[in-house]
Amino acid sequence: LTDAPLAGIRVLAMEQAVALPVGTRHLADMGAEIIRVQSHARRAPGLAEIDLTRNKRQLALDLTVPGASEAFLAVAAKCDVVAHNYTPRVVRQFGIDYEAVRAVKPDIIYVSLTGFGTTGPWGERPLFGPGAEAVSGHNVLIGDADGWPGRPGTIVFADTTCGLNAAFAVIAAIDERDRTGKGQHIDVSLYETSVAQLGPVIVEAQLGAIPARVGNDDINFAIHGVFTCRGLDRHLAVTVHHDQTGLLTKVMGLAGATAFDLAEAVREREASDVADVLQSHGIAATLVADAGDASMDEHLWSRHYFGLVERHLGGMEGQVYPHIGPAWGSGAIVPMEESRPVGADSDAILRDLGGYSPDEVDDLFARGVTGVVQPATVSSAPGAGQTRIERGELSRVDPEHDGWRTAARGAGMLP
Amino acid sequence: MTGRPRALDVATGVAAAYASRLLAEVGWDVVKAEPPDGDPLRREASRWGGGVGGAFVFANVGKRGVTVDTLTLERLAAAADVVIGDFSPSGLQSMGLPHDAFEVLSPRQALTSVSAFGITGPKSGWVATDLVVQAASGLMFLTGEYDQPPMQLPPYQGAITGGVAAASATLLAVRSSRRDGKLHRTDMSTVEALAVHTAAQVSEYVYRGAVARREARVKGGLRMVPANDRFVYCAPGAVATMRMDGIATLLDEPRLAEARFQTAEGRMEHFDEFVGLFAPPFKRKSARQWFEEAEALHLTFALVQTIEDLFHCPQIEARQLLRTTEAPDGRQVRTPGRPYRSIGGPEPATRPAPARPGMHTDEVLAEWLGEAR
Repeated sequence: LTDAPLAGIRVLAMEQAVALPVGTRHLADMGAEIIRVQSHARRAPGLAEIDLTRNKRQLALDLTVPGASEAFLAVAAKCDVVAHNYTPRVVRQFGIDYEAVRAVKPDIIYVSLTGFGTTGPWGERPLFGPGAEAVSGHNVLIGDADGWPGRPGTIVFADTTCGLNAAFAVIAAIDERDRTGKGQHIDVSLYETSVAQLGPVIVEAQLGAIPARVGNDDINFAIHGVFTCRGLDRHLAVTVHHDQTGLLTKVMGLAGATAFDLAEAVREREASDVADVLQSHGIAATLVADAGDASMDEHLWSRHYFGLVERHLGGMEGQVYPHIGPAWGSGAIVPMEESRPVGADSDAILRDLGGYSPDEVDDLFARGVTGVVQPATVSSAPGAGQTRIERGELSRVDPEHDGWRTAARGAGMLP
Repeated sequence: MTGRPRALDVATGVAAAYASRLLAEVGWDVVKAEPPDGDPLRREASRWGGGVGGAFVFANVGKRGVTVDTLTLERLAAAADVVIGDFSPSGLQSMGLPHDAFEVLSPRQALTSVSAFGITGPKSGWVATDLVVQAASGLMFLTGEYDQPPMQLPPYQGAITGGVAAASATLLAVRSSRRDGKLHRTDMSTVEALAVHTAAQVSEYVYRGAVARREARVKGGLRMVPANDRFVYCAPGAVATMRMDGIATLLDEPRLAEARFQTAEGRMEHFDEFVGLFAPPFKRKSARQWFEEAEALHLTFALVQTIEDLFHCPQIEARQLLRTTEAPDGRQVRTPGRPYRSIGGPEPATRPAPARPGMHTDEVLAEWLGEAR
């Protein structure tokens, strides 16, 4: 799409795990050409990974093989942005650190996405997203006052946050480069972006508050919490301002305006029905949505939050499935192209951008510098659903789970 | 005209304010318009008692403040490259803006609305607090204990995440505007920004019908283990990724290297025995000591820091992540600066959030509109 905001921007991303792939996916969605670099000496990707690699080209390089770093730099010289999420030690070892890339592309925007940042006493330490949540202070703020620290749901909270911040940093740096002609080295970390998410709390701690776990409470509200409703694992989230308590008792027919009264009143009702009633009177409330609810939420579909991707992976050939859009919505206007196998574009990229002749590319294949990995096989079979329920991983498995189609038709996205 | 692009922030609350703060962090001239009695966020009390909230100070670093009538606001908007605000019905009301402000205000390049549910769609009239945003996003359903109701995340996670996304979307709109010369309007929802965290769970549902739930205690108990002062975070992901030989060495407990504990399945099967060997040794040392010793053995541990710990963290100190700023009452406080470092990029913002609403009105009117007052 030539009129996409980032059309014409090329990004070479040596990426793994989640944080950087999320960041570059945002850029890909907005029209940037993302060349994902990963080694062909690893197993085929699974479901979580293919969701991170839509709209990306695939270059396989095994940087432990002589000649691979040169190939990386040859392609980097034709890029606007080079990004990686390895430790500083690893990129130095491979000869693809900021100085090395800047030597071949002076105005490069170079992104190091690391655990703690590339400098400082913890700068060489590896860190994963869940650890970043712990060390940045999120965990001590989640849970009941008398319980252990909790953690943000999903294992990718810090990763997704960091990826989003990295995308912002790159977009801002491109803007800056277009105005000044200068590149920059963006040094973004899981730890620091997670700390930034706690900005209000950090300031508050210096203004007299002692931040701690308080369950679902907030003392500034008459009611602020989650209430269990009818059904399996169904809940209502409600916040009632002090000047809304009279309204609440009237609307819900309560004897009093306490959380206890509300809990009794909603226990046997549908959470979404109660939310509709409260919202119609200006009281903030919602069903606590699970993944199934989200997939068929008419509101999200009407806003084109979801896009549709036609899967071409083993086991799903030709089937169309919804996928979430970028964090700024409008998934429907984002062309969503299926994840490509590792190394699928190696040949074209090495020739067109790397400047290698066909014979030289053949040689790179022969020496294992580059390669191709068979496409992923993704099963849409329910798997060991009952076992996973018993192990406490799932709430339920719905035999019918294509309610999203109705919502997609309602939004005019499916015939 | 000066070289710095201009943003007018007409936001109350956190999300849009943080978006425009991020523009200030990359060199933009950002002006915050407030009602005469100020952004209600100034008066917000802390969730934990003890004083005022910290969100206003955090989200408004780097901005000058004006208070102006509606007509002047429209002229400031026209003199700006972008306008960012909450154009939902409740957002407009709290700012005292007319109902058609999203259509009427006409900055040169981009107009960005950031609200909880967005300004189109069946729930666009819904009101929300951050708890409701977290709940509607799908993230809260996954947070908490398996057998307990869902649990909230720290305050303003929806708003701050939405703010980062809105800043990005605004810069992209500016880029598009440079190309086609038109004004680009963006309708951001913080619910949607936060929902991105649950992409994998939504995929698992649409492919397989599986509804992921809050993590069971049986696994959660292995993630965080109490040391003699605070908690250690001792697994990068699930227990499946633990390297047991290293852990046996670290904890000086050779039995943990035995065959039955080598796999995740084995540890689950012998769970009580495993936890009985695994957890108690941590009581011997501080979390920080375990963090350092694990590093020496190439085990990826983290420690569970408190907010107070952040003020003494050597990494934060070395990288100067926390910057000193001034609260409206004059107290010096530290706040996270730009959430990333940039070598060769613009200088981060230093100006504290406006101490009083409208304290820069005269100078901004002079600079932006060429008016003396």
